[in-house]
Amino acid sequence: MERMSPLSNQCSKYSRIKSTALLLILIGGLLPIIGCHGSGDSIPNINNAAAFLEDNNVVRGPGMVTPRYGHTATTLEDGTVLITGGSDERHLTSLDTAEVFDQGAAVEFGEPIPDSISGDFIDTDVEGDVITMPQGGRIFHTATLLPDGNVLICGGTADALFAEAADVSEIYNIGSREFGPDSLFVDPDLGTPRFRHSATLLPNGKVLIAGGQESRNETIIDPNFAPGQPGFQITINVFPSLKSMEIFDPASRSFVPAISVAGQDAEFLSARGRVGHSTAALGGLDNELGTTDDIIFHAGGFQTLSTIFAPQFKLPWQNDTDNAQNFEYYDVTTGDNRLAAGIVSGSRVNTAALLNLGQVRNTTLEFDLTDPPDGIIDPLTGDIPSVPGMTNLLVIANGDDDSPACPTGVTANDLVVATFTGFGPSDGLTFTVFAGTAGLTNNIENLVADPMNCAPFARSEADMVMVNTRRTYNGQSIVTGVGLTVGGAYELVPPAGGCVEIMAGVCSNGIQGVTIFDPFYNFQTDPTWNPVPNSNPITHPTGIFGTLINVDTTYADDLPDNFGVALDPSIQLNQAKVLHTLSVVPGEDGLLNTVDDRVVSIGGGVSYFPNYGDEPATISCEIILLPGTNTPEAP
Amino acid sequence: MNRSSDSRTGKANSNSLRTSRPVLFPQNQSGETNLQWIAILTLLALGWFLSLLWSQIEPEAQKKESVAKPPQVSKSSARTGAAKGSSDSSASPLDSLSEAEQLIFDDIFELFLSCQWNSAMDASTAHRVARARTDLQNLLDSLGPEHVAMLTGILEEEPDFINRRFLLKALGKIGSKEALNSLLEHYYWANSEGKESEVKHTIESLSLANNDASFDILRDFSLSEEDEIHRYRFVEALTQHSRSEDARDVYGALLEDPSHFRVRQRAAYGFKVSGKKVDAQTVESALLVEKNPYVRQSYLGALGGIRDVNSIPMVQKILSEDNDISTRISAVRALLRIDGANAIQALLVARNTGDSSDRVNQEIVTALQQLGIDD
Repeated sequence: MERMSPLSNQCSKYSRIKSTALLLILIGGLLPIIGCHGSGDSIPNINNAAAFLEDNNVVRGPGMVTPRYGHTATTLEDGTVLITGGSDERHLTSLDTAEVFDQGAAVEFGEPIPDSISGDFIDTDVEGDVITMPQGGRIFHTATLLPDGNVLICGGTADALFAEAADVSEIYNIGSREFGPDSLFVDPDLGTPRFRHSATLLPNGKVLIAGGQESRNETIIDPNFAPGQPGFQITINVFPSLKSMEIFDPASRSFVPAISVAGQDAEFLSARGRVGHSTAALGGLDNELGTTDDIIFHAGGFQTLSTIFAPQFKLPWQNDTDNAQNFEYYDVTTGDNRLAAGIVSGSRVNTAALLNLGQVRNTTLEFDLTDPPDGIIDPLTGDIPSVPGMTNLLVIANGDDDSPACPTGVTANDLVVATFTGFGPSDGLTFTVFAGTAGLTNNIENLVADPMNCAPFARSEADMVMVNTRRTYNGQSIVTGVGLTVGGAYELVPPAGGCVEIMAGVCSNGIQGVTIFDPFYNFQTDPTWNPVPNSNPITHPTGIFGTLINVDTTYADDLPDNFGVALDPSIQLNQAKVLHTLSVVPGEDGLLNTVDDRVVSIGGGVSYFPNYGDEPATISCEIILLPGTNTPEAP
Repeated sequence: MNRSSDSRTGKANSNSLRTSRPVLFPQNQSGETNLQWIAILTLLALGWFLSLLWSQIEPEAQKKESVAKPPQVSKSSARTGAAKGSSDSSASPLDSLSEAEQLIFDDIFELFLSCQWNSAMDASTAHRVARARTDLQNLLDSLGPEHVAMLTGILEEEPDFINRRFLLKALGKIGSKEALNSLLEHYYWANSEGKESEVKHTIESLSLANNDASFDILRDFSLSEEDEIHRYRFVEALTQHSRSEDARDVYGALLEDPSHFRVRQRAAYGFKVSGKKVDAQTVESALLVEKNPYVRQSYLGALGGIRDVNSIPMVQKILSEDNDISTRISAVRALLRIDGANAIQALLVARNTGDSSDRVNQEIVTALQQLGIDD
């Protein structure tokens, strides 16, 4: 296929000039002046699958139709990614458009993507109209993949100033690529319109809507004026946090208040609710995710001080808030909420990442541990057949302290382990948090290490996703999951005061670099981390470890406490960005949750503080392939 | 398909209307670049080469002096190195403002400042920003063609991208030739900087003019080879123009455009909103050879918009044979839009036959219900 793509690094107006002499002149001198149209940078032709098949690499993808940040990104069943809403103007306005990233998967290795597959952002529905959300633009909304493949768009607001919370939800129809057709009308809708809430798909196929902020008008008295005088009473817009929870039922396409089996309102136990928190599912007594005894874990976020003293605008870094240091969980079986007693960690908001490494338990741990090469199962050497609670290993990373003066990244990335004994309150559910203290041990095995010790390194407004990659255990190639994060921002307060934003990073790989959380790597005892397949053995299969590792293109210097030297090429984004999204998409096999999955970074803004995204990044799509992603299996 | 070989030669199947940007690189009738231009380009290259040499031997102090030269407009902070105009020593329109214009300029400048914040937002800042944005919009809406030079000058100097968007919209609404030229200049700059978001907003502002001049520009750029990468944005703007119907020849020329699938989609949309029954055959011909499902769906959308009953057999065939579920849903929607007894009959046949996809079946039932067939 020789169709010339506009994304290729071709300059059509020059290629058509036949004069050799002129061509030489252009090459020698004129080209650097005028350049190609577009950015002039090297942009791989996305219509060539090979561009996506180079391991250990970050590849620039196609540009979005509407570059944006603060959007939602939802991976659909067919491996495409639905992008909705967001902003391209510092959240002062919002976008009512959506687009679908279709990477043109399911193409043979090295073969160009045929015409029948697009490999780009699609912004039209089945009738050729631009995909728009009929209810208008949204920021701070949620998008939840429903069991039938459609997507629930819930809540949000139209801008970060004074727009009210969106009171109408919409369902994206994957068949027609449009929102809220008549047959998918939601009624009744949210009881309490809200934004910056969480929406979690429950094992029963329903969606739990929790917390967030509402918009209210409050009348306040100004004591500087006498009663009856103008100005004595004024009405202000406030956006207090919410305790309430609601349930969306896809079968009836309706919302109802969340009620426990005892008939009580299910709501956050925090005094004034929870906003901007992170959510992850935990396996219950059966140690399996996706079963009826799951619990939904809520961590971090903040609450507002009261209704009157709630913030009067919506951007982060507000004085009238209180960061949450506790954790709560919602029991899917009973509908009860409980505080996770004893768990206190560094407070973090602004896209703190909460990742249950147990999400990939089946592929992570179901390799044969009963027949190690020496024929002996020896826990002390890592041959542990099973460890209870392995579905409940939570990594909490990224985020910042939300300080209005200068938001500072939370440096201690936490690891939380939930265990069930089956006895006592909540079936003996207990939590242990490892807050990044090297050498900390627990009674299951060994130690937890957090080598993210290179000054403030936590990232604000950067996702973390779980993606598969290849590792070895006892000489066998296996598929494991690692957490991956990239991009974001962190802030430093210089001695002279003020707030200097650092987007590029100072720890070699920096903020632009790809960092993975390898649950099997113990940086204190294991050999130097080497991501080359079949050469980096897993020595501790329980995963009660965890090391955050910056991924370089050279491995020998990946000392966990040094992160290599600054000159090393690294797997990193081509442009620093915040408020972007990370999504796992299929690899060459066209299937999700397989070893060749890759991560796509979509959208993003160029600055975090205080303009919350600022100008959209010029590079709005990058595809990240970890080492070993596409390495063929040994025969 | 023939499209691919055409793309290499630069001659699309039906792109006889396509033009190069006339101002920068005119071509003779054979499509070759004029020899005169070769000579000019050669001289340009030579000049560039000499300037490179000169820059290497320029005294360091002299360099610093030239960099430190203040911008022409004192009140508007200079753009960063990536911005246009900041180091341009040519005369700025802002140098010769009348007294009345100076007052307006001052107001705009103050409102620009009021739209900014340099620390964490608080309630008073939020109110200030909201008020300033409203006031700025009202002020710019009150301006006319006589203010274009001033607005252009501000646009060239303004470092903030959101403030620039206000100016872009103002110029688009004014819509005079000077205003549109200013927008075009800004388009070139944004393009050269790789600012795709700014390119998008600039082209959208061009469409705001909605007059003959903007129509001509959008038409030319839709066919320009130099602007191929943004062609779909120009075509989209053209479809939203009140004279979209006059651009049907452009849509026809681009319906099999090889440069990007989105161009073909936008051309199809042009037919959907402005097409005549005589255009149905053109769309059907393109549909016959198109393989990209997203584009095929746009073509079906166009047939639904044109509403020619003669298209029903082809749409019905796609409904029964296409492998892509969404494309079959497109076919159902097209039949629904075309309406009439034959369309209903085609849908009834599809319903009775049944589709392998529940989504398509549901779509057929819904379409029939909308056409008054409930049983």
